[in-house]
Amino acid sequence: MRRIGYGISVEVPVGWSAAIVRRAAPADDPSGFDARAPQGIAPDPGDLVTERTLPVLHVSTRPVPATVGDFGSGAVESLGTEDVFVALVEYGSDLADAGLFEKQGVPRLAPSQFGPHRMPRDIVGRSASQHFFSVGGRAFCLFTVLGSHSRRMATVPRAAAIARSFQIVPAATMHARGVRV
Amino acid sequence: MSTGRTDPSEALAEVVERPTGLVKLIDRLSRRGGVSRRGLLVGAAVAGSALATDPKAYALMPQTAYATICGPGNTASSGWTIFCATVNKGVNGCPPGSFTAGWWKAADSSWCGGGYRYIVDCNAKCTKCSTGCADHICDSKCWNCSCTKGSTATCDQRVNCCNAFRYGQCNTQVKCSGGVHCRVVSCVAPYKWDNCSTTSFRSDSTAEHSSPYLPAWGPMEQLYTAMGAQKSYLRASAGPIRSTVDGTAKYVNYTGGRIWWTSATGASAMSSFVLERYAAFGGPSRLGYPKGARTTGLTDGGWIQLFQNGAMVDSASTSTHSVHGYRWGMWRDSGRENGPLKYPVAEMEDLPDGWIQRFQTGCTVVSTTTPRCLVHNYAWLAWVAVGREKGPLGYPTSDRAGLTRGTTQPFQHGGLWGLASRPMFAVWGAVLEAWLAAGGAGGSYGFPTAHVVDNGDGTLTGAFENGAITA
Repeated sequence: MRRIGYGISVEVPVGWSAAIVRRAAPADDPSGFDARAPQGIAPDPGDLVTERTLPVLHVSTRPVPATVGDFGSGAVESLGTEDVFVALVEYGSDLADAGLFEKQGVPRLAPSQFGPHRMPRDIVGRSASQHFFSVGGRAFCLFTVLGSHSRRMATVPRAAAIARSFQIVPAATMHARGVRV
Repeated sequence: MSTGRTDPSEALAEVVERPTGLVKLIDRLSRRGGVSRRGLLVGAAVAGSALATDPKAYALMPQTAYATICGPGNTASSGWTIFCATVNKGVNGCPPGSFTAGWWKAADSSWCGGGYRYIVDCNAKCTKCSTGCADHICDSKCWNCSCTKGSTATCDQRVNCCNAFRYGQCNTQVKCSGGVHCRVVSCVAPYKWDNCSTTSFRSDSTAEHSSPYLPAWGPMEQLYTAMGAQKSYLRASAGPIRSTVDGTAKYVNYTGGRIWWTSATGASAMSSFVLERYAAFGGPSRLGYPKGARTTGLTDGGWIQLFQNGAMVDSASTSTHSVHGYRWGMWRDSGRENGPLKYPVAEMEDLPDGWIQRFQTGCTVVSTTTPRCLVHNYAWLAWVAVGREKGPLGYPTSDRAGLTRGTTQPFQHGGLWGLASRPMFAVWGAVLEAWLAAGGAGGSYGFPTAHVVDNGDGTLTGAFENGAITA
């Protein structure tokens, strides 16, 4: 079954769960200061820069909870030894094609790219890899977590198949559709 | 050559950080052996902070104070990264050899008044080599830090420089980095104070993670947040909330200044420069605590910061000075920098039988036998010209008063008189007696046109509009 959202699509194997979400932007607090600011201190105009949220794709052999963190916190803790969690996290077209996001195209995942300390939080037994890249003027991070580092030869191909199935609509097309990415 | 005077900064430190009874107790206990002074002190501080920040949880729940302060996942086995404040001398900023590499936010954090808390990863730089950068993280042997567990001297025992991960919204011009050295926190989004993208990621599970070296939420953090946190001149916090020796005030040190709080004044910030001058001027014991932020945009590019007992003030034409006590009330009531005295040019100076504080165009002065007075403009010039309090006039006995055609100011042994908007002149001694007998300024001689001069033969001569008197 193909899952589509925000110009990103992925082929989801039977039995896997997937979600493509874009959290609501924090419209209630553009300055970040809000009612906590003592009286008499006006926000700097520069503080009115607004935060943005962009699409995040989660695919996993386990059900993905609604409260999952963008990089899988709340989900990767419960992975079994044969489980896989894949996150495709978008950063914004303004960051695409340069610096950290200079590489082009979805990376091909290989077991050698995975390590036990490649997560925001080290969890014993887990293994992860992280790649920054751009496709069609859109900047992404592909973050993949395996339930077991010792089982990576068996599980990485399953994650790699997920990554190979990604289809991404270019930024220019999305902008023409009126969707900010 | 020793002057015998204490360094002003040390003097302030002595005022606010002199060992308390608790510290003395800890010293005694630590000297008995078994536990380090640091360990005892941190433990005591943590317990105190726990009571201050979450007393209900600390008192009612079966948990340690450490858990209350440092939050969940505070051990190395949790896998989370340590806070920079814990490993960077208390400073909530990236240590040397690391840089802001990405951020996320956590909702409903008590450390930000129930709002969003922003956690920023400081990643190590690849300073030792550049191998392994195919996936944007160099080999760990290249990192500018080494993987360690947090010290057991603090409750923040999370791992230091171990996790090879990058959130990736900050300093994206850096293509390859080391792992996460430590974490910085703020209640203000990092794209407002560092080179970070506004792209927001979220992980609420870290909302209550913390360190005993970070200031808890309260009036001081509220002010710091309102000022823009790290974007403000205060920059990064450099330790937790501390109390003064006498318990009347609390404060938080920042790399660019300090925030004070008392129940009487609320929270007020001051820059490092003002803090240094504040210490030099006597600190809390003389000026009291600040009553608000520094106000800029005064006449002649000046600024002022008000304190309980006075003010610190500066302008483009003068250096920084304090005005406190009676002098403050006199200067304030006279119109401050817009009054006849303008800005102070010196601190209060002790005199053998009184004191004086000089301003750009006058002074405030008092002696043991005369009241507090202002002397300004032509009166100030005239008084200085005849030797001030050491001259024939002595100290002023009243402020300047108006006359029909001019002004006058009385002194112990004479007075100053001048036509409106014209120089004033000193009249004293036998000339004064003769002149007053003739009706003074309103009499036949009129106003003086020069100071009385001593002829050196036991007589004085005074020049007036309509003649001279020698007596």
